[in-house]
Amino acid sequence: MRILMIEDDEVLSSFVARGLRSSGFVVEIARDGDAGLAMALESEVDILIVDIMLPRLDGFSIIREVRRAKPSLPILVLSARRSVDDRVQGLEIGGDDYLTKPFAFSELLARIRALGRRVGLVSESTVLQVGPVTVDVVRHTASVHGRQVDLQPKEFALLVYMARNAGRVLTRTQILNQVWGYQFDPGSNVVDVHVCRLRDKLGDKGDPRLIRTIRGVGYVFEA
Amino acid sequence: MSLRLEGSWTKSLSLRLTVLHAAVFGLLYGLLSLVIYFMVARAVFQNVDTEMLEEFHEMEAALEKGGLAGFRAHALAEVAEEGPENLLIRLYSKSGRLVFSSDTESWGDLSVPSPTGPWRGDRQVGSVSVTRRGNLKARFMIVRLQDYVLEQVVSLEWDLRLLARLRRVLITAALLTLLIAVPAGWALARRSLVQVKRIDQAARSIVTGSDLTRRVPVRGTGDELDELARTLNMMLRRIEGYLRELSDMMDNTAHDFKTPLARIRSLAEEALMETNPLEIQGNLVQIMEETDRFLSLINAVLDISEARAGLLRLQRTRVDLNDLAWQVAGLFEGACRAKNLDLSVDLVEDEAVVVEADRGRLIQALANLVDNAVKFCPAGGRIRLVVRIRDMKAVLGVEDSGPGVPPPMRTKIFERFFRAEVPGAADGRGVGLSLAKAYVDAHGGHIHVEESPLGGTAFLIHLPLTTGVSHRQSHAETK
Repeated sequence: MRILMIEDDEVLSSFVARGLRSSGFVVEIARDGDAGLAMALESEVDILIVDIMLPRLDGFSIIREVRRAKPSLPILVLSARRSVDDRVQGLEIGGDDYLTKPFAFSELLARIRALGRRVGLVSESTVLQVGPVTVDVVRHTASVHGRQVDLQPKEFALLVYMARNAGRVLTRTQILNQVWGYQFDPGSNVVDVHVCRLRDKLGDKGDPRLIRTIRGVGYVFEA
Repeated sequence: MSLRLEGSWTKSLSLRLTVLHAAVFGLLYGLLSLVIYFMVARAVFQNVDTEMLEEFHEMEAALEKGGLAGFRAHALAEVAEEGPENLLIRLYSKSGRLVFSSDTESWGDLSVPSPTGPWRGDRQVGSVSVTRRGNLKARFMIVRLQDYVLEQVVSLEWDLRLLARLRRVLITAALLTLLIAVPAGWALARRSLVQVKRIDQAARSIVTGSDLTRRVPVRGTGDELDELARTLNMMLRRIEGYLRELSDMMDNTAHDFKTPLARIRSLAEEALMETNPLEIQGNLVQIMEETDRFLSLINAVLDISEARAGLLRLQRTRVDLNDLAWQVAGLFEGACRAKNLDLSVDLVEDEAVVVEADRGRLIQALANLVDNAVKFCPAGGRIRLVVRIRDMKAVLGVEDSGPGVPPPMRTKIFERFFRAEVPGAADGRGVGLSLAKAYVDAHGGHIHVEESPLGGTAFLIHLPLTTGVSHRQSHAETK
């Protein structure tokens, strides 16, 4: 799947490009609005990621132009502006999704996969496998070495989120945002408690562990 | 340049007011004059007609008493008394033959109706112009008198002179009035506009000088302009308040932003000196976590602003508060155990307390209140989540046995970045309570602080109940 990213921030775009490439995407980058629009119209692109504030031509204009030529191309809008108006405008003129900068890479990846799924480019596997752990997202079951594990709904959601981002470090706040949907950490240690329970139920006692804790603030799920 | 513009604006407005004033005044005066003039003119003509009628009666009597000779003598005496140029008396026979005529020297041919008719009514009255005397107006009356027809013509010379004089008087008076009304109107308009100008100048100097503590002058007359000045001052006060709040917030925000940034920087610096890749990874993860927390702090601040501006979009569904309290209690189980706090939940038994609310945000609000209680409650203390129905309102509360909040501080604690100076209050970020209040306000509810039955503080969220209480609905499912 080919992704075109129109983003003038070099650090951000090369970070995203590296991450997407390692996830199996072909990534092209345009650094300004004019070049980006030309590439979007001329080359084969499956998903377009476009920043709003760009040199030469702003993102809104690009989206408008691209929408005219390629009405079905999925477009993910990136912006540092968070106001509801911006978001609404971004979606109204033809963006398919809106992501506020800065964002966690896992969040971007999830949005891109969702867009790809919508146009039939990505068929997300419904069974995730990390080492001895198998998670069936559709049937809501998890097993370790073939042995069925009984999980509470939140524990299951946590496991799915970590399995989808296997090998990637996830911070506690990030997990709280994504799994519990709280944007502001209320100071509870709910994530730690659930990770603990999940480890117990998975029988995760080996060294190294399947779910590793890093400095008490981050977790990696890795075989 | 701005002063010139301001001057011309004032002038044109006073000019318009003056012209309007004069026009209205002139119109009313004109109407009044017309009415007076026509009433006087009518009275004058009626008077002439009445005199002619009296004269007729006298001549009728003379004719009856002295015959034609008596009439002639009486008529001649009358004409001599009035003057032949002012009164003309003629008597015709029924067939229209002239029987008597006074001196016609100054009358000439008059286009009065023929004495033989045709008649309408028993007499004919009207006006006629005397061509021989420059179209002088005269009044005539033709009446049957026994076997004769009597014709009287009276000159209106004196009456018309009287009316002409009345016209002159009225016009002179009109001119005099306008002469007074225009400057008076001008002065009145200027007087009102001087205050407008004063308000404008004050407002202008506040705009250009950006000194928001200045106020527009109020004269104390209590008129509309005073009201305008007062409204302006009220607006200025509010703007001043907002600005002060904004600058306070900027200061606090800057301070609160510096702390995590400093931590992030030192973590990066530490990682640079480190050679062990695991240690470096650890620092990087901590940096990520610090950044995430920092971002959620920014988002919380933005949410507070949006909620205050009424822009926060809530996704309302039916939420059972019993259910919600359980869920939030679950979030803090671990934290309370770690601090040796006794966390309990006190619900409305066997009833679902349903409100229309944005579940996520309501959880966030309640969680922030619990977090606050956990932070301030000393080890071994008690925290209780309560759900109640009070005065047809749903109440969701957090009670603790902590140090409590003294009454004067109870509204202040909801201000952004306010932090109680309590020894041992660990790393409170000061945003939690403001966020909770913002979310609850956005729901159309309010947060209330009072003394807790447990000895510390009780935070009570009041929300409108949507469907009253539905018995034995979903409480069992939450267990």
